[in-house]
Amino acid sequence: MRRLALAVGSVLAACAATIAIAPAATAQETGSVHVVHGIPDTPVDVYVDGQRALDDFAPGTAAGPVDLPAGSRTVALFPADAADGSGQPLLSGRADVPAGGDVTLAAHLDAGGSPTLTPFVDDVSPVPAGQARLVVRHTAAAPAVDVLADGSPAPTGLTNPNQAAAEVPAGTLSAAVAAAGTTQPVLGPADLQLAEGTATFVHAVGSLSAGNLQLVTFTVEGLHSAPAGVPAGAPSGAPSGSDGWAPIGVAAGLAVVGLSAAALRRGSATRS
Amino acid sequence: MSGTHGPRRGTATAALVVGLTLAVGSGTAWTTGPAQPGPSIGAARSTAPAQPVTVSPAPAGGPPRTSGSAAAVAPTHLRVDRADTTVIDAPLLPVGVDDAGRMSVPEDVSAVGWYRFGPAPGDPRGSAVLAGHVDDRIQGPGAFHGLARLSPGDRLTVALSDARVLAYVVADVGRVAKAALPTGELFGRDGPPRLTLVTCGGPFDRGTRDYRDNVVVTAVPDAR
Repeated sequence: MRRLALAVGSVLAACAATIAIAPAATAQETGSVHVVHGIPDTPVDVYVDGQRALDDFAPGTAAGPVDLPAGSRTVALFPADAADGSGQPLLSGRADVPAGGDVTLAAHLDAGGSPTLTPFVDDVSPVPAGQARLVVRHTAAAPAVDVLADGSPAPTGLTNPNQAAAEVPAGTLSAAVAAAGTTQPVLGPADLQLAEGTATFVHAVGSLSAGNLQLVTFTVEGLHSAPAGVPAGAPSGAPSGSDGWAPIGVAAGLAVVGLSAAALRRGSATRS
Repeated sequence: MSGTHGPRRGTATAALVVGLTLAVGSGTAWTTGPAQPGPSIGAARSTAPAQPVTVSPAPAGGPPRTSGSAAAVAPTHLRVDRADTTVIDAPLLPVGVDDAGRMSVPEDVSAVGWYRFGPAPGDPRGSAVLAGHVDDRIQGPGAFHGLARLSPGDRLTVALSDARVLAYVVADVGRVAKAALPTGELFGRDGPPRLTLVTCGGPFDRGTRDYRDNVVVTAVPDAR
């Protein structure tokens, strides 16, 4: 059993401050929290500030988002059959829940196999049009790993408890985890359906030596962006009816004037 | 705001940019970083008075959900008839984005693209965007050559892959400089259901080899 005190760092606090200004701050400010359970064979009840928040939380699953009041919260994990949130927890820690921010609290094994709690900031900023964000987190009792995306090494040398993120074209991505420097998967490959405008958070949990590595995944939707424009002009680079146009760069100035006049005539037929 | 997960601009990127950016073969930039800047142990912060925590247990996370707008039904054909003239009669192709992050428009100017990441015609909310070329020197007039001639009240039909045909009526016809195109509104996934048709218009700029403006037609479901 370990007692840990965790606090989300100053970077996050700064982010929260900027967010808090924007919306009408009438209601109590909250932060959005996902919880990941990556400690094998140990169903737990999760208590926040002494009140049970999650009942019979199964290993290898994620829960959330739950909106917690912003501020410093005590999070404690008790065996799932515990009567209440008193006594000695399996794990406990403090987490600063940022107003308007998004965090994941991961209960997992450290690289050496001891249970621990790690807070992660969830990047739920907008994703470019046509893309999806993939965040991979090493929260398993395992040495450094390489993440293989569609068979190719992507982030390399990822260690517990760190994460790697990328924005990738929306679609299906085959992801696997291999020991650093190798390409033989110790976990996966698994097909990840990365929908456009979403962020998918993938956690490698469990223990390599115990042979119970697995992925715990959750997805945040609604992060889409609009395309940057609509290029519905002439694909060849010239409008129809412009067969007499001069080669590019020759008498460009005159040509611009001439074509603009022609196009203006065309444009005059349109409404504005 | 419980349970909602809308876009939150600039929420948490700062924590990630401190990491190291790696460029890998596919051109995908992976950013790696620590979970958090050093957890402070036992630093008793003076916090607001304890308040009752109201937490509803959330459903356990399952496999990634697909986006709600990933329509199983796709639009296949657009037609606009006016009196005895067919103004638009074009196949619809699902399209995404180009390398510049703009909506892709079919190279074949006789076809019209439907932005497949956004709402589909028939979805209960949001703007289904259809874009087609106005014309081309080599291919001639495009499918949307007549778009700017539409007027409010004109009727459109969109055929769907499930054989349904949806009727729309033009509500607005406008022209806007491409630089000022209100993409957020145009591609909006919320609000009342609507069809947004886009092509090019205005003067042709030989420097950019492109038209200066976009012609934007908004149509709404025909209640008739």
